[in-house]
Amino acid sequence: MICRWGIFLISSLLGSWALAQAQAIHIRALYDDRSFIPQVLIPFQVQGDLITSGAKIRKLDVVDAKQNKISESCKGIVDPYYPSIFLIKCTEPSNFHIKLELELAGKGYALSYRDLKVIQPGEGLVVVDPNPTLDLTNWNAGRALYNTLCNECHLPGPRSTKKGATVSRIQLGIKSIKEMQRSDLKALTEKQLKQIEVYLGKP
Amino acid sequence: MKLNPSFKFLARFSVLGLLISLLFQNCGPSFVLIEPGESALNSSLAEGYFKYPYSAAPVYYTELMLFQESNAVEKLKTFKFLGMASFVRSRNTSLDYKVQFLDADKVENPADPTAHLICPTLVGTLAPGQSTITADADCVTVRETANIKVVLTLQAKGYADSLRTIEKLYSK
Repeated sequence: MICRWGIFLISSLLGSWALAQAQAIHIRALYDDRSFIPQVLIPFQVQGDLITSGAKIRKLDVVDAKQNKISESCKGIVDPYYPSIFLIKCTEPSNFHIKLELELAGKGYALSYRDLKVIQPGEGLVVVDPNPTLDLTNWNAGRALYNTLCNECHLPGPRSTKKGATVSRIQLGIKSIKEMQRSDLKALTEKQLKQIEVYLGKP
Repeated sequence: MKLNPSFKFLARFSVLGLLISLLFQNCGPSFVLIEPGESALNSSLAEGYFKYPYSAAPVYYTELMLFQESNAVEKLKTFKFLGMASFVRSRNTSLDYKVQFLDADKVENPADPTAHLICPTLVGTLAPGQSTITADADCVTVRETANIKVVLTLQAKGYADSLRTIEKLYSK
């Protein structure tokens, strides 16, 4: 009896190993490990016969290696443009594993990538604006408008006395301050005011 | 030892059940799955946790990061730079890179944006498999500045059409 179960178990293990070898699928990091730092979108690619046959990523888990449960500080997404690439982002230093399930013709295939580390690039350093949200096109347009219309009274951009001014604040100024009741300022559209707001940035 | 046939059936059934429960544990949704294509790139992905930065299929995965000592609270004078780049089409090629640091408030002449370089330009090559670009020493600008534009130029060797420039603006 025990012998029969043993044979069954060994055959299953050998079968799984043979299947994995035949499919030859693996995960490869597209960044080297010095690039594994918090706030970075780290790309990984699944490679192998299954992918060239059209397998899709069905499930992606980022597992906290210390607590052995779904990580709270790291998350993953499949890249919207490349179905074989997924991206992991961690908000703090972490040790994690990746568990992936692929699907091809209704069948599921599991694979994992273990013992990955996200570390700080240096002691006591903080990220300056971790994911710049300022969009350059609007910032450049806002700078041009500010330099033409505003800097004479409010000083050039870097030293502006109006840092942090919002669209509504500028609109209020145009409405209520005598010196600002000029036709060129009144003609500013909502979009242009928004561009000036982007340029003026934080207070 | 001879086992009762119904015991054998129960034992096999239990082992099968155990295997099935082990196989399907933790099956709840834990990531965002979206189909490829620009139309699928919804704003929540671009603005949410991931802040997906590409508006078309990326040629390179890149990231440009500025760091500063946590006690430096205002403006940028000394900072550390870390950049990443990976060529999507092939990892078996080297990448030539150039990183420029510009005072964004002073770049008035688009024909000569280098007139306002505030730190030494980094020029180098990433060997196949490498992705990390670092400044040899921390960058110290000649003056404090609130807005820095970082311009990264990349070219994959052997791929003439792969020249790309990525710009990012950092504010402090």
